[in-house]
Amino acid sequence: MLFTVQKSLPFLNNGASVILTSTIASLRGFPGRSAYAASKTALRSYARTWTMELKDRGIRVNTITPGPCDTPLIDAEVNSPEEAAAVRAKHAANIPLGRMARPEEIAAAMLFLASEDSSFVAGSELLVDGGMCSV
Amino acid sequence: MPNLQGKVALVTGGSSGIGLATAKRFVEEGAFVYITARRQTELDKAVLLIGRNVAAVRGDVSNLADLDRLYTKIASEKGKIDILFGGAGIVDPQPLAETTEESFDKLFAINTRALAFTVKKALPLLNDGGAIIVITSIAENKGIPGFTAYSASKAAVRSFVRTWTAELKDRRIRVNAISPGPIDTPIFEQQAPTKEGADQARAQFAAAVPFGRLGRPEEIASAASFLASDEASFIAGVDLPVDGGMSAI
Repeated sequence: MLFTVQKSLPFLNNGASVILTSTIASLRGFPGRSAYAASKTALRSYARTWTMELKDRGIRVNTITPGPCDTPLIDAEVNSPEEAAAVRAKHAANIPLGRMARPEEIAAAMLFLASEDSSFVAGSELLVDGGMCSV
Repeated sequence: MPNLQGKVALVTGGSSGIGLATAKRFVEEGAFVYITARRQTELDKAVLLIGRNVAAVRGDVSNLADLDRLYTKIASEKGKIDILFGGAGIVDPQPLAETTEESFDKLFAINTRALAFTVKKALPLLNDGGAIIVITSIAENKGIPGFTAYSASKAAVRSFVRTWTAELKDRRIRVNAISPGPIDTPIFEQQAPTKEGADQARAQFAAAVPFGRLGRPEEIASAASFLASDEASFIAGVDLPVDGGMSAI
């Protein structure tokens, strides 16, 4: 991630928006995810550091933190539709909105951070998790 | 682009600053907006500025009878609310050594208590699937001299957002906060006895922002418009900083 952004710097317009995708695993302890969670928590730190480094170019750097998202990956990781339904139900039980995210909902939040509607949003973390990590 | 077509919104503190900018943006996105504030003259100016699809109701959000009157009117005219934006709030800087009971009580009465009852009394009118957006402040997470009661009053609001997210989940009502950094509104005039003092405060706060400037109220309004819309359909319980990077330092 660091080198992706570093090498993009000569090509970024002043006023550009950089969005780093984190995960709720960076906010909660999920067994088996030590390195994944830590690596994603680093992105939150990058957003702060790069906000200060790039502010004179007006480049906004933010993190988006999706909660559990309903994608075909769920079906791919189990052996039957019943198992997939059980996985989905288990995730939904932990989420105030009672369901997993649709990928379009993560995309819509990314669009907000990419657009001028977030022109004063910098160095922040936008949680898109149906309330999971806030309660 | 966020779309609020056909929605009914209530914006408290809607006659000036962040509330006014938000009401204006909501109308631009297709909503009908009720604005409420304490001064009729300011409300009249706001209605003229917004121009259409807006109704003003004078009242003090810290007065429960005024809240009842407001919601009775909305219920009879529109029957429901889809979006509640809590923009009513005050500042009153006092160092701890000089903090008065009156100032402390006033800050919590308006910023915290009034908000809780504004939302409580809206619940029968709010549509399931609706959105509540409240205003916290960067002050809630910083130590800023002079802001004992203000910062605490806003930290309490952040806590409300968590509790209400859990309480209202079965109705799928999304409750979120926007945490503004310093925004260029008449609240500076509220805090300073002279124009020079207000402008000096503006300059001081702007210097503390990584972007080197105050935020525009429209920049809070655009975040509010996003959170109010279906574009934010999986966003609940958050406290979104809109502060030009100030909370990152």
